[in-house]
Amino acid sequence: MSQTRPSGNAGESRGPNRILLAVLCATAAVLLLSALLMPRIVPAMARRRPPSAESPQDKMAAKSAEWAAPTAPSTSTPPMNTPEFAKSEPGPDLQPSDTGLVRNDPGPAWEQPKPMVQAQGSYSPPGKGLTRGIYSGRKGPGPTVHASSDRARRVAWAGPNEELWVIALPSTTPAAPPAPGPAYETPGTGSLMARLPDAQKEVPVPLKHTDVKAAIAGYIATVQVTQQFHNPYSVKIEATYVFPLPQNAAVNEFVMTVGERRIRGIIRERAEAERIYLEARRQGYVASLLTQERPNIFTQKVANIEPGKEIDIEIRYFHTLAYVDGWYEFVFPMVVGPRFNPPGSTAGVGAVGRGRGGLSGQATEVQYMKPDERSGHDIALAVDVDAGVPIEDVLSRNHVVAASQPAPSRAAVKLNPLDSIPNKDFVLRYRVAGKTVKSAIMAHRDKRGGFFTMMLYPPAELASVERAPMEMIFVLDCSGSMNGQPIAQSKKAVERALRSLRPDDTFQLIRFSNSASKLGRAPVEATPENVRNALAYLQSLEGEGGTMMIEGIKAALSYEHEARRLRFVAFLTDGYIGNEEQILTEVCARIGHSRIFSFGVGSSPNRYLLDGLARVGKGCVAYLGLNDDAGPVMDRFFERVSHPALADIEIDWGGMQVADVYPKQVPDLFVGRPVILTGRFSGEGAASVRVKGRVAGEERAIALRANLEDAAASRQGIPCVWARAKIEELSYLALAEPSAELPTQIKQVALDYGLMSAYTAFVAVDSLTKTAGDHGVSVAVPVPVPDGVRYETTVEE
Amino acid sequence: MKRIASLAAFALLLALPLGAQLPAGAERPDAPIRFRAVDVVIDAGEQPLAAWQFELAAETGDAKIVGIEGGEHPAFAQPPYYDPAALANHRVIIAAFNTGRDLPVGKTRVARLHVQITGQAEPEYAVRLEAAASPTGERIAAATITLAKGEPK
Repeated sequence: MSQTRPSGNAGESRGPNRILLAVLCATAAVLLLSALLMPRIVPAMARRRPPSAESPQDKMAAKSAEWAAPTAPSTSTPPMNTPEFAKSEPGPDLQPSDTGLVRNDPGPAWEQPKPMVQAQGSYSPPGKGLTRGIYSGRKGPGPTVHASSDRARRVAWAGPNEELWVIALPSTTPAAPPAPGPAYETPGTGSLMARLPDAQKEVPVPLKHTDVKAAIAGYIATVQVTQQFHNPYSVKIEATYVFPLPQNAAVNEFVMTVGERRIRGIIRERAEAERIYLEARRQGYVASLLTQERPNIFTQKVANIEPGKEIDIEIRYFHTLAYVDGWYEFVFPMVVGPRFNPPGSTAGVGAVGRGRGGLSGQATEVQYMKPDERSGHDIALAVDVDAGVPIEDVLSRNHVVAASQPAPSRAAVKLNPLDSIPNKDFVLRYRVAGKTVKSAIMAHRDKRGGFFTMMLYPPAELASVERAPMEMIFVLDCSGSMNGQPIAQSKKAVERALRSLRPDDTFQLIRFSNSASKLGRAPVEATPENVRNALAYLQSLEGEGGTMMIEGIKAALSYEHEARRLRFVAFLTDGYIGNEEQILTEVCARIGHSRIFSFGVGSSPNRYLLDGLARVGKGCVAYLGLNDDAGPVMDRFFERVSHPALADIEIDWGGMQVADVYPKQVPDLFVGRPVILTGRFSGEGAASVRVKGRVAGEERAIALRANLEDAAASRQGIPCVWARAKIEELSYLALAEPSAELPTQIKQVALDYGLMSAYTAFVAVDSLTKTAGDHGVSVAVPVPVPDGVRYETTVEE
Repeated sequence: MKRIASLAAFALLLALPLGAQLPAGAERPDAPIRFRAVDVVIDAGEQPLAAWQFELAAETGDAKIVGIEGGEHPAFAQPPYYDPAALANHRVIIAAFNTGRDLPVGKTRVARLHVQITGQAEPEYAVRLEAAASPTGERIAAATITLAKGEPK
């Protein structure tokens, strides 16, 4: 009996198989349906769900919504291949949803394809035609954005009628930063929001938002920067933020806002300002201090921010715009690149990981977030241009912008809110009507007297004079910070240059990182075979190691100069070093008859160093962004060096009583590159100014008219621009001929004109807001490494 | 007349003597340091106040200005500008104007100065109203300036 099984048993034994089969079939059907429908269902779920839910479905919906968000940086991300993605591809009428969109942040730059924010946006006035195709825009009368990149267009926004929800966990107060100690600058752990992909971790930082408003009149920009600090922790903090500004910024205003109250900061000698700040901090008063570490690096400290409180800092500065090959260029740097400091130095700019404060041993230190981290700090930027003459074209090199043209000579440009990670320079170029722009003088007069700026354009006939044979020295920065896209851009540029050499030219190729090495012992003729060998050598170069730029300088400038040739040094680097003064001093000492043409490579190059190299090297600077085509950049360089400059410039000021003109030595005028002079004047009426110079032994002249009656006291920026230029002149003089007097002179100019300098600082104390206890925990604002730069090869951990 | 006289007397109490300079501020490491607010009040009488400028220095004591805040009326709520060159000479010249229609009349706080005081002594400030003008640009001759201790609202 025991061997006989009831039939029911057989049936039982088949039952589970059937169930299993049914389950498998159902699963397959669900999977199939899911594959077909999920791309449509999930965004819809995301749209319908309220943002506060936390169910797994909600999280899934949130994530899907993020994937579908327009900032998805890669064409390889899953939703981009879905029908939904294709459906949401923008057309002429497409508008981005601005309701709570959250970026799907790019991960490590080296893992991700070029993110959307690198898209090259451009604006053309109505009637000029949409040569680059519409990238995104808003319906109705709002601004329109264009992009030149097909990839950029393919990065989808939400569809016109779609609404995206981002699911966020309720905000919680992060843990308090640890008590002061060796790692006291480590902020609390945990993230504020659970809305990022698993690979990304949002870290709380005491800087919430930066707002930038720029107004450009002619070629002078007035820029207002507001930094919104807050305390997301449970204890009182001091926030420290190291940030960049343009290298020629004349910072003359500083206002701290505590609640509704706005307190203007006072310019003081730096040491005195630091003492005031430290004492206020010690006593628990809300206070702030702005110091200058380099002409383009500043440190903002805000003391005694209580939990949950906000304090705004407003900075205003003026600066002149560069005019490059037919385009005016406005630049707002957003992040300080990670600097390399030679062994033994302590006055440099250290680059350390978040929470590793003090590790570098440098006087200034920037903390960087890891590639899998991001902060909630974002940036908004708006520029109003009043060119005075019709604007023909506006172009944003690194960011997606919206632009409009309220009048032929005006343009309003706004950074797209979805492109708000501060990890690369904002570069706006605009072109005005006319083949060439004429030299002109702008004047201002107030109780201090008269001030003027003069932009001198090279005479058009320069372009018709041919050059002599030249000796071309290419110097490539092959350090770790150049690894990846930057060195690839450098190689493309040098390749183009090598192919542009004439057979009667000679060339040399030098690379440097920890040390320098050359293609050959001496420059060789640009024969096809030598160029081929050089190209092979060029392709073998990689970015790794330190940035011992001094070795590159020595190698480039230590040759005997062949008298019959013009000697040009093309220096390609991101400039990520902390010993700029040492480098510039070395160039001053060695420059001889050479001329340096510096090329700033990357998304956030060190423009102070690169401009300085060109200045002391008697050449010009050019910038090669990650989105730029290296070929035309190098072609323009060759156009520049293929014609002699207008040299030995002298100015007859006519009836103008002029003094204190800077730069004192008027730089040579190269094709396509004007220079800006600034000075003091007295007297009234009109004056005929004559600028003389020599081109290939022949005298050439430029005539211009100065109307001093026009010097109404309305161009407030001009005195600041003049004072800043004087400080710069004295600083460069100190490089070449150090003197104990020069710092005193710099300090006095800065104090007289209320300007930031290496020897002055702004301090503001709110004597009516005293917090309990001492200053609390110091927290550095960590920043992302610049776009295209690898954290692993540049940041000390 | 009686009102003007009493205001002038109050101003003298706070502002005597005029024309003095802020001390050079030699550092005294052991001296106590404190932070205080000083309110600057202008009484323009019955005329609306559209523009003003004053000069201030500390005659005795060691005081340094560490912040300048605006006034109580919306017309002068923004922090006024100061002359940095004057500051280098141990005094401060502060000014503001407003071209709007909504302007303060009578007594109004036009600025609040945040000051760091070093040492036991309470500084004595000298303040001089250099200009007070109506919207038409006319000088308000009867305007007076006084100082008061700054207090939070």
